[in-house]
Amino acid sequence: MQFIGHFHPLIVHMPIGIMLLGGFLLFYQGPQLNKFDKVISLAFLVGSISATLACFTGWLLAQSGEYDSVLIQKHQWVGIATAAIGWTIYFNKYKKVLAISLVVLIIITGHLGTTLTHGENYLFSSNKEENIEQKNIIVAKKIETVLKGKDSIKIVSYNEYKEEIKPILQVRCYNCHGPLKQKGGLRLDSESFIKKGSKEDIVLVVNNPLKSKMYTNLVLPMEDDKHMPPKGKHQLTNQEITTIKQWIANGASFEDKIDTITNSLKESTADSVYLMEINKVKAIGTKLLSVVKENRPIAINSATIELFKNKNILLTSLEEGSNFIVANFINAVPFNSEDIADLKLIKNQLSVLKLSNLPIKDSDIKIISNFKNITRLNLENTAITDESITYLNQLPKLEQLNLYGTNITDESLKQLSMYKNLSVLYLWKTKVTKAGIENFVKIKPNVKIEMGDFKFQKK
Amino acid sequence: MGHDPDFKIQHPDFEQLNKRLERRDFLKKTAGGLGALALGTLLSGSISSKTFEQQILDALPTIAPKAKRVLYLFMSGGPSQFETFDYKPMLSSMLGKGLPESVRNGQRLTGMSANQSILPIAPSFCDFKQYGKSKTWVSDLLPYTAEVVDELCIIKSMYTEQINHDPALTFFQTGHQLPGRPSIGSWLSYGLGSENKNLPAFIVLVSKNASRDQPLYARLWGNGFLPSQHQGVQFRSGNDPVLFLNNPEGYDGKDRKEMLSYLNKLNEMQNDIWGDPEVEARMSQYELAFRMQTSVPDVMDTSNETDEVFELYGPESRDKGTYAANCILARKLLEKDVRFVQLYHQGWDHHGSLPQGMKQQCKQTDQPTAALIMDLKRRGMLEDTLVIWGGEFGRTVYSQGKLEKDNYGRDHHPRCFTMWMAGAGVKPGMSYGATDDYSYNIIKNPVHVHDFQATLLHIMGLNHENLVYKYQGRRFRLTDVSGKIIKEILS
Repeated sequence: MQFIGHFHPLIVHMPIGIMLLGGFLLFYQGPQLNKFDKVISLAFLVGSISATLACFTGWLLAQSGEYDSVLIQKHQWVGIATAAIGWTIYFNKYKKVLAISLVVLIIITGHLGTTLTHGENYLFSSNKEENIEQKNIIVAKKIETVLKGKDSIKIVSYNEYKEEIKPILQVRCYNCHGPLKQKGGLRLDSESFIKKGSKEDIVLVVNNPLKSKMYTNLVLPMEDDKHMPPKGKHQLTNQEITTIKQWIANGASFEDKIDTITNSLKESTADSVYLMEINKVKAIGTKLLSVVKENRPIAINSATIELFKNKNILLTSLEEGSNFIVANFINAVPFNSEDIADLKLIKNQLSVLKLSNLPIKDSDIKIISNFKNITRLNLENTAITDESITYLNQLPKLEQLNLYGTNITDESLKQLSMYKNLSVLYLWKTKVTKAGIENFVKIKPNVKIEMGDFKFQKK
Repeated sequence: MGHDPDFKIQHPDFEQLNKRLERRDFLKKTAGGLGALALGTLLSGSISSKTFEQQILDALPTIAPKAKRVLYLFMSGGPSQFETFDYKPMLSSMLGKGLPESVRNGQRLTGMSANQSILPIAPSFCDFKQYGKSKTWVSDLLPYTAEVVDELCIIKSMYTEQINHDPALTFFQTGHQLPGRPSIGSWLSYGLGSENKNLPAFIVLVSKNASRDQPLYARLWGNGFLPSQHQGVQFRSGNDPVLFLNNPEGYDGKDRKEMLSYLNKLNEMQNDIWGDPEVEARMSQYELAFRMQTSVPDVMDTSNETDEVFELYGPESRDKGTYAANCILARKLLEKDVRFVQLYHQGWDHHGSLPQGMKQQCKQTDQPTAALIMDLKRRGMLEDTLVIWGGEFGRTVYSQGKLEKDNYGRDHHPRCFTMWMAGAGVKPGMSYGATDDYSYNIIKNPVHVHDFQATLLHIMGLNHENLVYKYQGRRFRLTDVSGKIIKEILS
């Protein structure tokens, strides 16, 4: 009997065509002429018979239980109504009024039927493919930052199922294995349904794609009955199949997974976070995102870049995509002290400042000491003195300082020993003494000092 | 197809280009105008709106650049690994014995040694000692390099696909063995731009004191299909460092600026009509050339260098055009923030009389190379300059031609060779990879030329798979269709 049910999609098209033709002729022949009467009568007879057959086969098909029950009820009753009105017209009552309502009913039945076979949104879904493809490229990762005092840990997490797998299933599988239709009793639109599998079998074996029907059926030969999606339907791309395979092989996780953890100060602190469950991290969630937002300077605009460009000052991103800025004065010749003052426009973004080989004075450095985000400062071969080094102590993030070729003395070393985050210091061709360095190293043993005293031993 | 007014790539250059295009019918444009849009693959981000999380993600770097500049010391000809860094003590007792077939395993040989009746093993004539805290084995031909060996990251497991000079050189410099693709320096100029507006981003220096056994050609520093402002510019020794840069005789150059600004106007008009990137390239080159009339003599002048510097780089450093003098020049160019400086030193192709040849080559290059590293270091430049030393392939364990204990030759060997990197982005005092007892096959951590190139781009903050240029319907990369980053050597 199921077999007869399978003729439903074939038969339904007959009443649609024939009865629409009957309705058309009814209006076409006009009020007086009745030369098409026989044809009209025949059309509604054959139309009504085929509509009744369609109802019967449709009912058989519905018994498979693969379809959404609410929707199928609607489709069934509107279909039966269509057949009934067809018969009424054939038996010659209120022909024209009924014919109009018949057309409306055919449209409704047809639409409901389409929804059952092709899924919701089928009618207006021409752009769907493109949207999905774009979605596959942009994989959203979630960034969270945990603050521990001054230290911060950045956690990048990522949900492969939501970002990569679900969009594929949505386009390629939901039509037959979704809320409206469950071929073989299988639904793929949520974690629990996927894990439950079909009527006969489970479809997902975690870590083992070769035992997961969800993967193997995709790569069966096209001619195989079990090949999915069935022959003639839109197939998955190789990339999509690989994505599903890898997802299963990697444990078929439906959870957020930690992608990377980075720590700005110490690597070791990150280990403890590795052990934290992702849920705990998530709990801190949105609040932390706003913290990230506050700590990150806003991007400078193109007008500012242009302004500095006109002054021959080159601004570049510290790193690709970063809002922190490297300012290089290599082209700013002759040097103009006012340019230093202009840097206040980017004081939050300025991270690396390169003023090498320019007549920079202590008064310029006084201004620079206001730019709190500077991590690296190149002052080699400039005209600064010990006075500058007292100002620079106000830069809390300063890590690297290049002072080679300047007139600084041991006085500066005393100041530098108070710098908190200093890690690299270049002191070749300065006036510092050995004794000064020794004292400095006692206080700051971890600062890397480059004295430039290298000499080849082989002579 | 009409010109969609909403079509925008979010980048100042393209907004500018779009502005020009708006005034004219899109269809009137030649392919040149469309070619310019291909740049968008590199410069434009996603046009669609982004979630807040995505924006944060974007704000964080995917790759953190370690280096701002590259100094590539190209030892053209294929220096022997046996006489430099790849110490093979087992060979010393095997003088003249045939190379076991199990080692060669049927691999191809060049036409120069393929018909030898025997492939006699030639042990290295050099003594090796361990140097530095890293206890790295270095040949006694490189006493100065040995002193700075703790700064080097030595890769002993390089391999290439090419067995002869021209394709192997081209492969190393452009990622493909056939000519026509952009050189590494051109890719970097295209991807990162120039810092110093008065000098080209890619400068080439060729030693005059090397034997010209194998030729070099300007296409090795060519821009290929990239816009021509990205080509390498060769600086020569002598009175005319950049050809055709000086004013011709009898012309005082006073109205040069006026002439150029008028020419610029004309070019601007052409550019408005055609939008051909080559017109823009020409305009920027004229402007740069004008500025180079003063900047080049300035940077080429080493008279301000102290005696200490010349002593550090060795006796030949006072003789302009030698490798040693070029090393000083290279440091000066890097100080000026030139993005990519490439030195070529020829004469490493020792098919015969290798001991004599290697002695001379090493004498010319050893001290200046080591000095350059230490000079960069004391100026604070080694932390953001990547220094690379190496040739296009290695040499065979067996002797080509007659073998004596102190006189032999070695043929080309692409299956393994040594090169080193130092400075920004790489671990100092490291040796990576290993070869078998004959230095014939790699037994650990092979590094393909494309892997090397991918790593180089990574250290410069570029993703080798994203740095693409669309040309004749295909997106081209330096690493062609392969290349993986050697994460183990990254600092």
